[in-house]
Amino acid sequence: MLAYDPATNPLNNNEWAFPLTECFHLAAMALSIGTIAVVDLRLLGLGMRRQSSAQLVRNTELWTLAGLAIVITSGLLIFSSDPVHYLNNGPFQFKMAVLLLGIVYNYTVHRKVACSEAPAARGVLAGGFSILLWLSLVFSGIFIAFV
Amino acid sequence: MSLADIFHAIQSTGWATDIRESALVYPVIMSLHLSAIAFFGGMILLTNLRLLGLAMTETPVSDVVKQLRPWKLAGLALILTCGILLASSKADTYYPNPYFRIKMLLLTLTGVHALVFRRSVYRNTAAMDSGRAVPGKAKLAACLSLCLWLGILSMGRWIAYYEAPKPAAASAQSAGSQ
Repeated sequence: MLAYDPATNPLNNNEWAFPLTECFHLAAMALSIGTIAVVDLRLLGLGMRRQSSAQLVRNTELWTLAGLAIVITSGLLIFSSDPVHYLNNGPFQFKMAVLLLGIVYNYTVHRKVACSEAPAARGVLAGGFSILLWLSLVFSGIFIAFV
Repeated sequence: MSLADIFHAIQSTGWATDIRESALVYPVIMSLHLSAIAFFGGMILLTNLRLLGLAMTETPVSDVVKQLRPWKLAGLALILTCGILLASSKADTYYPNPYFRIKMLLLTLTGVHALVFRRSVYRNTAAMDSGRAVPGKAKLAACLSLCLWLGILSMGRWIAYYEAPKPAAASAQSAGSQ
């Protein structure tokens, strides 16, 4: 029988392991969301206006991807510390839906608008929606611990 | 009046009590704290990676530093405001927490960092443009800044894992019973 007992997970048996994993999760969160936000500022016409949004995407995409890889890996580790708890947690379910939507959105619509000569109004919509998505991701992440 | 008394007085104010006792306000402020870290802390990381020549090398250093500066400052103001509200609401437990103290020390050091490097690095970025290599001093500033902010982030997380030692009276009692 395939049984998984979270009590055997090193994250639950080492004083340092869990908070350290969380630190990686938060730093990588800042890296991925912060780099996307730079493009969003440009799309909204609020910052980095000396560069084109296409150039900013090109300049940040590697770090966005690195951040996403670390934030998802550390997130899976945190999830593994207590899977049943997370699966039954409303904010966690919402967060996973937003994460999926956010990643798909970032690499399709967001990227397409940023890399094209789209009219400013479309950029504002695409950047605004992006900020809203990542903001709701952070909020739902915090609320996992408060329900 | 000791520092502990001051912390206690802060925690006892009406607004700090309201934050602590609200099921919604506390997590909302914490979410804002983390959101600002995500959006603007990420920009701090990115600026330092640019100085190190690891990111955005196609974009001149001064364009990155100057154009992100107002956003990072606004973000820092939001992070600090939320952080002060969160710590105030639980000031009694924060006061003896060693991770909180290290975090405050590191925050102070970022102020020192700014004083030391502002003129020569962050307000002197034009000298690093037009293909010239980023000077060692700027790279040192970026390295130190990365260490400080990652340290602050880590200590912030560790605050939640500190368990205060048992009250002295209890341990004295158990020692006496031996």
